[in-house]
Amino acid sequence: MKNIVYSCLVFMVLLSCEETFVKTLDVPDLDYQERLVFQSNFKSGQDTIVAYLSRTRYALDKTQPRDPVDDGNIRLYKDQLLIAEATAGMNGEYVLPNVDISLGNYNIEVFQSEFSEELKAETTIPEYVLPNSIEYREDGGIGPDFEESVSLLRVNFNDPPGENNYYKFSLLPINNPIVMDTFINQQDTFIYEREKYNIYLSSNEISAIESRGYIIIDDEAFDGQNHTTDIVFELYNNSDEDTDINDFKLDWAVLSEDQFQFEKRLSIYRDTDDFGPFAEPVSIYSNVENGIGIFAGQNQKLLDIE
Amino acid sequence: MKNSTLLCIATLLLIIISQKIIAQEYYTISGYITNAESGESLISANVFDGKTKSGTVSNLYGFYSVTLPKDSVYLSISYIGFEAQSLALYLDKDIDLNISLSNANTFDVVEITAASSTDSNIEESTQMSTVVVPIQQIKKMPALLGEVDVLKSLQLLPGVQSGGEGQSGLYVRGGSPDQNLILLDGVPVYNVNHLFGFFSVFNADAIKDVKLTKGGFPARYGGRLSSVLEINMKEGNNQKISGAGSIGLISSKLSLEGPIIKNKASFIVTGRRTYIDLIARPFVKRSFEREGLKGNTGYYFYDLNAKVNYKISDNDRLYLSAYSGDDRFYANTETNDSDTDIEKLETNLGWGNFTSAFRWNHKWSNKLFSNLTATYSKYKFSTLVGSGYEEFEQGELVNKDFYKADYSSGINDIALKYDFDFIPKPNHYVKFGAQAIRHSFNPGIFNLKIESIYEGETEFELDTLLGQSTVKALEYNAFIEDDFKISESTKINFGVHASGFSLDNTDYFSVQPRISIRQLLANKMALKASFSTMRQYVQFLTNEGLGLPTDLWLPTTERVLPQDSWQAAAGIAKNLGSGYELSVEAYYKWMKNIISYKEGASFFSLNPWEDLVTQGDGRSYGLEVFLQKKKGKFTGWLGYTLSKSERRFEDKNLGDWYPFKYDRTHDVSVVGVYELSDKINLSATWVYGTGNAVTLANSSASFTTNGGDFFSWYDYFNERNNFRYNAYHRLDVNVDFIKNRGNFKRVWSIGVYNAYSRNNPFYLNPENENVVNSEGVEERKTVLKQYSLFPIIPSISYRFEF
Repeated sequence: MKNIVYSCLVFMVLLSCEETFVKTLDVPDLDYQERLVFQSNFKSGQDTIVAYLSRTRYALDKTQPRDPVDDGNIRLYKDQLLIAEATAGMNGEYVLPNVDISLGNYNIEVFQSEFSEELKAETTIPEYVLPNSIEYREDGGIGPDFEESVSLLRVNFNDPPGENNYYKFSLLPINNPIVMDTFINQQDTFIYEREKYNIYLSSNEISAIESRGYIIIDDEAFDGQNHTTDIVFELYNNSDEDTDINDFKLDWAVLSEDQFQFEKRLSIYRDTDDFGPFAEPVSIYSNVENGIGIFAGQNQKLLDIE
Repeated sequence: MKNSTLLCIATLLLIIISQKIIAQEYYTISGYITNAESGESLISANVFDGKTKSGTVSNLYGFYSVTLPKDSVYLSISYIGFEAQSLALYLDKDIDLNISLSNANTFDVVEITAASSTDSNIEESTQMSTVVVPIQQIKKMPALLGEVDVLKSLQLLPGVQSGGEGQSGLYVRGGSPDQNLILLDGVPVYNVNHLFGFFSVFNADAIKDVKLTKGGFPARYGGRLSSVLEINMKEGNNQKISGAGSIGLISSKLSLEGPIIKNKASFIVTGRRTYIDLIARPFVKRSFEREGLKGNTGYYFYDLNAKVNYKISDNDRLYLSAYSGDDRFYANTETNDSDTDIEKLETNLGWGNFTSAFRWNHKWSNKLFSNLTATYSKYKFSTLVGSGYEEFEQGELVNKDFYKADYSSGINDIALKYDFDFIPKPNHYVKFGAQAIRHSFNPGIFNLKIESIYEGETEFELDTLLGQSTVKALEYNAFIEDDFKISESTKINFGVHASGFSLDNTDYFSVQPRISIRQLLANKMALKASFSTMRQYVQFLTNEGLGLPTDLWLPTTERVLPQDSWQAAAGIAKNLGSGYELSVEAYYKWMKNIISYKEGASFFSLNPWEDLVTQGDGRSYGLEVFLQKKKGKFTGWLGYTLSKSERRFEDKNLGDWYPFKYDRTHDVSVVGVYELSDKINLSATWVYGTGNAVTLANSSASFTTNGGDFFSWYDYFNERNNFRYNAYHRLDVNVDFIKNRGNFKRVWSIGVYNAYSRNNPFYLNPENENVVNSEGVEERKTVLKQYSLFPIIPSISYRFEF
């Protein structure tokens, strides 16, 4: 009996080191298949549409650069009628000219010889919702995110009932000199354009999404109602000139469902980076059959602020 | 509401009709059934009249009541592992009869009672989806590091799964651990994890009885969607002082019990503590000193259970029980670069539960028994991080810069419950009662302290609280149920559970009908079916990973709705003879408003918690096969579950259904205990389960967000949980060497966890490493690594009883 006990104790001690408790094991490659990536986000009023075509990369191969595809064939249809075609791209960028983007259903077909199945996608340009009023107040109280006083833009509009509607807005400066900053990184030199004003936006909407200087809201909480959105903002003037609201227009757009989902997911994805493995994984929205990507439109106008 | 009204009316009608049908003269025999050696009450002991073939079982407090016609009565009183008693008497008046059963002189015979908490045979009970595992059985089964664990034993039952390697959490029929109502002496325990989930907080030496209900919930249960786990503490030996203890690899335990006043009052106290930190302290200290540091670091957990009971009279008994347990990790260091400068680093992580219950049992009559319970339960998690330096000149502090961030969250409950057992007729067993719970939620508070001294003057001082204040809510419920024997072959248990929740100006109310039916068929086979609806007001926000104490218990609010579920189950139960029993059950469960982090959200997000969560649906269905050997030298079971569990949230996976992380298509468990002799006991368990689902992007796509030439890569996956870990399987074995010397019994227990050292997956991690490609050139590549946690782990422990 004692021998058994001693043997077990020795065995246990030998095994009780950290290296033995944690072992690594290679796992076979994930089920990866190269696919085409298509992207085209277009707006009402455009006379050309730009589309991008590239290949996916294996998720674990972080070193592979973007792989643009220039020998694709892209056909654009409006209400089932062919309205434009692009047969060659440059660095993956295709220009579909002479189109008049307005209300309607749009779809694309993309052919590329290396991929047997053609890419397909469809979307719509939604009806525009013109605000009833856009009211500006220089003294908009104390902002929710900053402790200083802010300006207020109150936008009132009638949300169409019985359908999902999505609104995207921002303040755009007009007729102002642009500050050009040049940044140099390790790969290349590129120019970053910065407007004269830096604008910090916030909204009173609970589910508002902030994306690259824009705010996006959906109408889940006010479907079919008259609704007022308060946009508070703070202007930082980079020059010594006075800040003037007349230097701005309200960029007010109604998004298609596809455009909303795509922008929302990308925005969440970007915000998630800091949490690493502790964050819930984010699904990237795709409405492209036989590939990955987005084909989506929005109805957009620049509106005067009075 | 209409459903509940109909059910109540139906109950009353059935009682009235049955009373009219039975026009004979009836009398009642009632009393308590206890263990003759210890005085402990025996739960679910059988009382059976051979003449009328009628019977009952003792309740949670050993009370029984059986009403029989005026006639000769041949009572048989039995409890597994005890010598049965037979009594013959002529019943012409109500009789009070307390019965003491003695331990059987054979080896301990244990019985896993499936689908039956109230009857000895599986086909007799109305209730299905219920398992009672005797604590003696749990103690004989192999355990990780020799530490007997109640919850891990339950993971070996069909329909119950573990979350991952070594984890204590229970995933019952596709539900998550927060959907289990875990009651220790009737008090909810909110965090059942020690050592990040590798051990549970329940000390087997303090426990008398474990019962898990997975479905077909009787009306007395409520408040959670997936299961109810009742763990009852021992009451304490009221005959003599006795004790038990064990010395294991990571912890030691000691329990002591005995009479305060013989046959009147008794106590039990048990304690357990790990001692890795104590053993390692000198080594840690020496290691720190070599690095020029002062301080200490370590981890420990402890738990204490205590209970006293006092028998005022045959009609009144009082019980007072308490549990306290804590886990603590600490690391405090001081650096002395010079005699005048000190750098400090302070880290603390702790969590723990405290529960207490006061009970008053009262026998109003030989047909009416009541239990009044007042409980207090507290769970708290806290973490502290501090860092800074101090500078001294001639012994006086001149410069200081120090910050300390303390985060805490938790939940406190105060509850009052009054429930009754009413046995009006032999064919009715009515239970009814009501409960009110006052919840105090602390969703998370930061206490930030900053102190800065420059040249002897305080330059900056901050002591502030950030976060959400305590939220108080009231939860209340009432229930009534009847276990009605309609005929010799048909039994029905039906009832209604109504519950409500109030928080600020938000009120919720729910009526949950419950029904279970048993139909006896030929050849000792029973057909059973059940339907139950459940509602859960207490929300649990977790990352679904390790049993981290960072998980938050939160209330239902105006924005976050209560969770609901309904479950239907049907199956057969058959006594195969020779101690074998078989049950096969199929179930379908639908869950609504279950809570989860939104995509991209995490515990570290600073937004209010309601902004971080989304609510959606869950569904799970499956088939469970449970074959048991309940008697004899060899006992054990074979369990198999075929199941599917899915989730759907509007904000996740683009609104499509996806597999639950713990969806397990196949789950097999084999448990065997063989009593070789009265000195040697062998046991083994083998488990197999389909690997957990995990979300892994397999491709990346580049997109531009504002048009132009700047593209970013985004990882892409077709659906959440698109990848499966390798299958999990493991064999554990154990040998007990038992020796009795008079009243002293000692057991050497030698076990091996993961006997064939299977590399079971714990987590996957992408890592960069140099690999040689097909052209023989070494290149840097990202590969996916699977990490395993426990290889073969032998263990030894020493137990004793006196």
